[in-house]
Amino acid sequence: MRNVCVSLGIFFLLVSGAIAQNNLPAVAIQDMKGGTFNTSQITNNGKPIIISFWATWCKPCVAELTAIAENYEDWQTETGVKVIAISIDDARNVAKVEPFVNGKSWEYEVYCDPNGDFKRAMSVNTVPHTFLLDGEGNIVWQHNSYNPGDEDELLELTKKVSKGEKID
Amino acid sequence: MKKIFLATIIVAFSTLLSAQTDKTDSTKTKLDKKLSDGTKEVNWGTIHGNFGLDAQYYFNDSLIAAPVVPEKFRMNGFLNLVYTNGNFSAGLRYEAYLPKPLLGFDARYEGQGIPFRYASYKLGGLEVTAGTFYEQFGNGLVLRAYEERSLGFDNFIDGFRAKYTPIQGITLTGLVGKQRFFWSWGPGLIKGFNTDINFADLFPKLGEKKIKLMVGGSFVSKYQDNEDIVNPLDPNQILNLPLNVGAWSGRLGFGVGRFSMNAELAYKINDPNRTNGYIYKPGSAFYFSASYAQKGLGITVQAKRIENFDFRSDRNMTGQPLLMNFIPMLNKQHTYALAATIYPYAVQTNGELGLQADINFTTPKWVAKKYPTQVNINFSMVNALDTNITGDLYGYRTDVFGFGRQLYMDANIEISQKVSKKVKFNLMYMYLFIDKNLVQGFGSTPRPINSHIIVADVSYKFLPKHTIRLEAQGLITEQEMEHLDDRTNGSWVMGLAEYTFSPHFFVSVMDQWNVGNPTEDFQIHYITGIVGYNNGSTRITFGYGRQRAGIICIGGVCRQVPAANGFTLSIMSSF
Repeated sequence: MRNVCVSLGIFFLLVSGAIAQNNLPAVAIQDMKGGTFNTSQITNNGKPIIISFWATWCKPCVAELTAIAENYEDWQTETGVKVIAISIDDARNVAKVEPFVNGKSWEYEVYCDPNGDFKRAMSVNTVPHTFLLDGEGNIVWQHNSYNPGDEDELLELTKKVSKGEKID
Repeated sequence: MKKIFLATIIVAFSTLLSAQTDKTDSTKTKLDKKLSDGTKEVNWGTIHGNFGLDAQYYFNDSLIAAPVVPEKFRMNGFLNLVYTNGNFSAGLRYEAYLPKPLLGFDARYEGQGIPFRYASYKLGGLEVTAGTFYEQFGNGLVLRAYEERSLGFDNFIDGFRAKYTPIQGITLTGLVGKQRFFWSWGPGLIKGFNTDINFADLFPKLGEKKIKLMVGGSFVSKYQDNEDIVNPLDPNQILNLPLNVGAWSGRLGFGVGRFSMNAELAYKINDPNRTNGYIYKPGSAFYFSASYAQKGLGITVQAKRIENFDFRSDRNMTGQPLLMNFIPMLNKQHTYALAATIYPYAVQTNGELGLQADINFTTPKWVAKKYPTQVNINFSMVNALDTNITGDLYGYRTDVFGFGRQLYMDANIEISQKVSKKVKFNLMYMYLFIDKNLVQGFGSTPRPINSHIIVADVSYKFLPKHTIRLEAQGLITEQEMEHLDDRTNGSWVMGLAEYTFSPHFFVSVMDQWNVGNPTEDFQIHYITGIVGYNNGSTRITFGYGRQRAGIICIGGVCRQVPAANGFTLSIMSSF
């Protein structure tokens, strides 16, 4: 036990100068057909980005992405935002992601993270977990879980970010 | 041993940190940020992590057969920390199960410590990791190290891994290590090699034509010391065990326009182990999926054949620990409680044939309606392999398409409809067949159960941020008079009411009632109430209720959960 405390203490000491994460880690994941994709390639030409971790079996995740999809064109026109949906479905369901996304008529960029590498790198506990990035790729806001109406708050925040305003 | 490793990692951290700092100072890389007074800020890297705690206070409840918890209180908790600076990263996870793991989690997790710690760096196309790591080769048929915290499943590998990308489109991975076994390691040493080639990256002309072609191959071997195991067929004989057991797999992925397919074939040499009864027959696994996707329509067809493919880094282990591979389930991952938890399917790693078809569509615009209807139709079935016992150590004989006894079948349709800006509903009907004994390992006497499940789920957003959601579920099945001791026997009804106040609060009440149990005393109400608070990436829930005994399956792995009655507190956050 002492050993554990000492190690933790040293670790904290070492990293006490480090700042909390504010931009994306580079992790190799997949596109919906199984091809390689590195998360460092995520960009939106200086406009905000929403990254949503979801799964085909996760009802609140699908509700959130469906709610955004209903007004996605308006969101894009207003703020230039791009939604990137990261499916954490494993080998059981990963083949269903592309048909699922098409079946729902979602217009998002969708990538698959079947063994949770990007999920771990982003410290995501459970899905849905949504991140908002500013035009420079900094994570400025994040939210775990989805309740109907949460998309309104997300839109307000996205508008602020697109104007270059700070989020508290 | 553990201390030495920790000390090594800490020294590595500090060395690399100072090296990184020196470099930043001397070369003044572009990572430096200019402060307002013109001085340079040293790049200290970034740190992030997450935290979770589940605590429960238990009450005695003999009616639901809840085990007595003398200490009344138990908790599972963890904290992950990840430090990143340029191409260097390091992390650790502290876990504590105090004074013991929550009911339903393996008791061998008792204790606290830092089981997970690693350091890794990238140099050009090379990435090296020392310490603990997760990994998946292909679909995971020969190797998958992963964590499913809600199930208490964690089989990370502790050792070394190198990934090398000589050119964009080719990835080579090599690894060696031992697997987590609660607070120590399993006895087997794992060596693995994997390669993935993506032709669309190698030949951009393919990419332009929207043609995807991917091939891959893996080889995984485990070494375990010899031991004396008595021949199950001859008590006077000791088995001559293979100390090195190798398995390989080959994969092909292909996509053109709207079509995609993916196939993987895996083979394992003789691997006598406790789950297969120490037979010497080689194992094999085949997985296939094909899909079609266009806007508004998606179709997936999947098939698999699994034979004698339980692959572990300890030949004597059963249950969850030390699994090296992952056999995907091919049935819909249900989330409505009665569909998901009363009769869940569990993968039969030593033999099954499975099929699944899944269709998703959105009604087109010419169907005159303001809001489109979304429909999912899913069918799946699983049969055991038809085997002829040979009476020797080879075990049995079977055909490629040797369909044996039916284990599971599930046909369901789910409809989602938005009625107005305020009202949405989901309806589901499902027919479910399961052989409860054969699938859930309660014995070899078949116990077929047919059931019909209906679900109605309505949500009403009565004010901009206020929503009420109501769920009614029913599971209709016959009473089994020969299983009067079973607390899931017979029909069930369930009701749920949930109120959410976006973005911070929710409260929900749920009752699962075993209304049709032939044993009158078992017609129990399992009532739970939960209140929750969300803020950013923090979520806190507090509840009270009765937890039904049963099997919980997530991501292809299942565990037995005993009944419980008590208060629960859950806190999760990430930063």
